Amino acid sequence: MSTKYKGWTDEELIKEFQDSNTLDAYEVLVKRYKDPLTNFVFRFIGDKDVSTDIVQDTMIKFYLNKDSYKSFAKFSTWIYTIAGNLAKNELKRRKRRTILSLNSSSGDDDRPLEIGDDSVIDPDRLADGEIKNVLIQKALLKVKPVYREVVILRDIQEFSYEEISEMTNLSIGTVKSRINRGRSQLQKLLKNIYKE
Amino acid sequence: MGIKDQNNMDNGYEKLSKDLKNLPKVNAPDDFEYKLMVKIQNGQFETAKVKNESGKLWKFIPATAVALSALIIFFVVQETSVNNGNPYFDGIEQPVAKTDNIPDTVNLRGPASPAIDDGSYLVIHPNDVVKKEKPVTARPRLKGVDVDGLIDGSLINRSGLNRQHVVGHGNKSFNGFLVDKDRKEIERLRARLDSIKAEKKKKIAN
Repeated sequence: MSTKYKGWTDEELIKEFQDSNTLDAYEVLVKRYKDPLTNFVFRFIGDKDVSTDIVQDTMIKFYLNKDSYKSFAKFSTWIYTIAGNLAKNELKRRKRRTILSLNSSSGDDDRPLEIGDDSVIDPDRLADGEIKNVLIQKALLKVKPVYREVVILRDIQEFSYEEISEMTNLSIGTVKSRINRGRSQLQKLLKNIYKE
Repeated sequence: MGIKDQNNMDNGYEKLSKDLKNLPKVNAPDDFEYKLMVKIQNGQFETAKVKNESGKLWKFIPATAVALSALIIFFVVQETSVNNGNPYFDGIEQPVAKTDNIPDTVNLRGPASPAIDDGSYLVIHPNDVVKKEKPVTARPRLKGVDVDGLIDGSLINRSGLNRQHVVGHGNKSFNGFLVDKDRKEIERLRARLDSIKAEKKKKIAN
């Protein structure tokens, strides 16, 4: 990959790709966004392999539809929108499949997550990062998808309310409201960790 | 949107937000770009999800085939059972109606009478009602004789003048199939006709 495009902004790179069909510019953008997108999709879906596939599809869509990007918007907003839509489609597909499945793990269960009946786990280990992270991810997957998405974009990906509003095509008020509800649900589910 | 507003929004969830931010980052696999470029160069733009979905449809084929077979068998069996309601039904139309509706006809006319000169004849119906009816005209080109018609009386004509319309086509000497004017003969033939009809009914009933 050429080092020529290393210092370029996202918007400059996509423009170069659109105008000259330069594959190097495309590859730089892929390298920049593959990890954050994988993280975002994984936190939303909960499956590493599926997340990788979705991000691959996102990049392919980016490649095929480069001309649909308009320069007045941020590139990150555009590519996160594509990834978010593909992730939501995957959730819908899973929902249809789980109708036939006996084991349904829908996000409607508001009961606090339990570590388990394993009494071997030392209560002090509640503070242990690993177990806590697993619990948080489990709780995140139990939050309603419409809230989950914005909580991830805000608290994990650290986007502003305006950027999230553009990505999700929601008003800023709705974005804030959903973030608040998502956090509230998470807090309830993680009652054992976050004592109110 | 001021910073103050954002802070207000985040109040109460600082710890949670911090923990979310500090979740370990999940990265793409090392061969991500390689696989992506291979797909692009090979023109493999069909999404993996679509592939998986179509690949999993095959498992529904046996169930669908069984269901379709059951439907087909059901409709076929139903159709054949309609025809098999009557164990004696062999697909051939039963001429029951025709037999039942044929009147008991005997030409009772005596020798040629100038009163009935138009070729009509008297017919005795099963309810003993006597009616004057015109015979079915034979096809002029046919030289043959309708024996059945003569037996059941539909073509019998005692009129000498009309004899030629039925048999012989003008051959006045031929009288082999004409009903005799003898009344006894008429009664005998009528009885015979009755018994033939009764036999037919019995056969149908069986």
